[in-house]
Amino acid sequence: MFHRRTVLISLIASIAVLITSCAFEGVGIFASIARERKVLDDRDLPNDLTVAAIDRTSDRMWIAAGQLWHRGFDKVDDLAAGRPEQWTKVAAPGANFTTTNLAVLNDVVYAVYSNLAGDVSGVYRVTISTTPPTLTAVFPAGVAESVERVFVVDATLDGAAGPTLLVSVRTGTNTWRLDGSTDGTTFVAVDGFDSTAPHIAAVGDGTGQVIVVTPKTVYRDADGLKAGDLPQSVAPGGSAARPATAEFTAAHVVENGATTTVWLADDNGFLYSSTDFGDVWVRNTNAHVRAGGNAIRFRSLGSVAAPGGGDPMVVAGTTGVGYRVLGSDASQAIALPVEESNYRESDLSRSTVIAFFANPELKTDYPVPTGSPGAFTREEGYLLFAGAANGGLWRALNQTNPIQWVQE
Amino acid sequence: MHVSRIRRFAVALLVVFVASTLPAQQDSDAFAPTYTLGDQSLAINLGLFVPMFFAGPVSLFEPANLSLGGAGSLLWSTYLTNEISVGVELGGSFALTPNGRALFLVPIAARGSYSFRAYPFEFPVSLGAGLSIARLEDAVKVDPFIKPGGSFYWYYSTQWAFGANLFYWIIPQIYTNLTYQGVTETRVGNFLEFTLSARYHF
Repeated sequence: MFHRRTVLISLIASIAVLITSCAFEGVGIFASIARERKVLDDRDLPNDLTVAAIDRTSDRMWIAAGQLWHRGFDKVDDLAAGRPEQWTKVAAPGANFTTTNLAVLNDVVYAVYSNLAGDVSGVYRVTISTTPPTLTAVFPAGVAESVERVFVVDATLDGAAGPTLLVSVRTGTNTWRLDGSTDGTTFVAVDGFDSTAPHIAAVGDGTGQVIVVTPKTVYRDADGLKAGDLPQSVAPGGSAARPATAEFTAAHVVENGATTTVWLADDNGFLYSSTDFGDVWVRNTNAHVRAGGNAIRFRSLGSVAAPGGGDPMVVAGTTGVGYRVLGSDASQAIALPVEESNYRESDLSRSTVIAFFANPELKTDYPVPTGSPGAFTREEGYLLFAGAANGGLWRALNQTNPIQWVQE
Repeated sequence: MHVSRIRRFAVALLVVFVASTLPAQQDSDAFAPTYTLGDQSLAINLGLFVPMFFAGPVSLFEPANLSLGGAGSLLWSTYLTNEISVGVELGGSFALTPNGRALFLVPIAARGSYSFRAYPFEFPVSLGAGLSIARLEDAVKVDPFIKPGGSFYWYYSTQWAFGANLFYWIIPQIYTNLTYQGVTETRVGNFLEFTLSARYHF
């Protein structure tokens, strides 16, 4: 009797689990099909690239995705004009060299390359005026030291006007140093940022304040780099403290009128924000979770201006579940893009989003696909790009109407 | 391209199955078959799957947004009387979304039929009910399933009959606020199945 009842209960429980089971993030199967819009792919960039860094110069768009790729920026996004300009790969500086990081200083691209053996790395300046573009090593490194990341921050360096190109240099098994340059040629060690973990992000506010983040430490230099007082640790504390098992994964600064907000993200479902550049931090109380209850592992942060002067849209890339739209500060709920977007049914929603880039210039009469073949509407807004791990590069216009993604 | 290949394969499979089991020539005994309790039949059905629309809490008519697809099923039936039969059906269908995602539906249903006959023709009307397993990429859900419809058969022999089916699939895909998706994700799927059928009596 007991056995039969156990079997019956198990059977009912199994059926209940089956009936309610679904792997999508908050969407029903039929509902997602009803909403689905055709996701256009208007360029021939391989869709399985891992796009780890995105930036632009005055007239070209650049990505670091194993190799360095570029395309024209302004003249080509017109779906009505036919086939747009395609991406071109820049030849690596040597055999088996790859790049996963780049930054733009004074309209010049600097990319980090390393070879397969791991015994040669460096920062290379890209000269686009030559055909084909050439790479010049401006910060070579070898076995003793290796270069892993570059950042550009809006901050002075040793009294010289910014912006400043920062290079995270691995100097030993577990030691990193930060070097900086304002001209891309002469590099100096930046005092006070030696670390036992790699520098993963750096942001500045243009007034001399700089925040540099490692997985477990947040440094602030309040009076420009390599000048005045040494940087201090301003890691979130108290109720906003990082859980011991978490590691910071990204940092981003958002300027909205007179308010400058620094955002941090970690791999345990927590976001952190500060409007005074690191004195007071706010954090979500409970970890943000994905469907199934596991904490979201945030991987990247970005923001894009809104048309009409509205609040910028702040976004956080995740591991495996696309991106989320953040609230006004880190204590607020986060959200999926609205249902009317083509996001939820796109591969982007199931990707690990590791890089964002927003174009600060307003685009007018920009063609946005409607989802029907060849059909588009003209909209006004700001372009946001997202790079995915093994998922290629995505582009969307942050407009008044729901955002529609196009794969490049 | 992909759909048409599968469709051609399905038709070829049906032809091979039927050809391999047909007798060398048509039976000469031209009298109407009569079935009694315990007689059984096995039918194989292959054809088209026509997504029509979704009904949901916001709109009672949302375009299905799916391509024309394919459907097939195996039906085992046993006769209670000459007109009434009951059986079990295992089916499958597929259709593609605008971005090429494949929706698979695998219904398992009990079916009851009442047959009108005008030898050599038979017109069963049926109602199937059961569960349907829906799969779209990694997402899987089991939903209730109802399938009313009718068929047309021509008796080739006392054992073999060939014809076509037209069935209406109703699949309420229900989410509640207890689920992660929420009640607004509920949709009732409405589909048509048009299949060719070969039925063997034994």
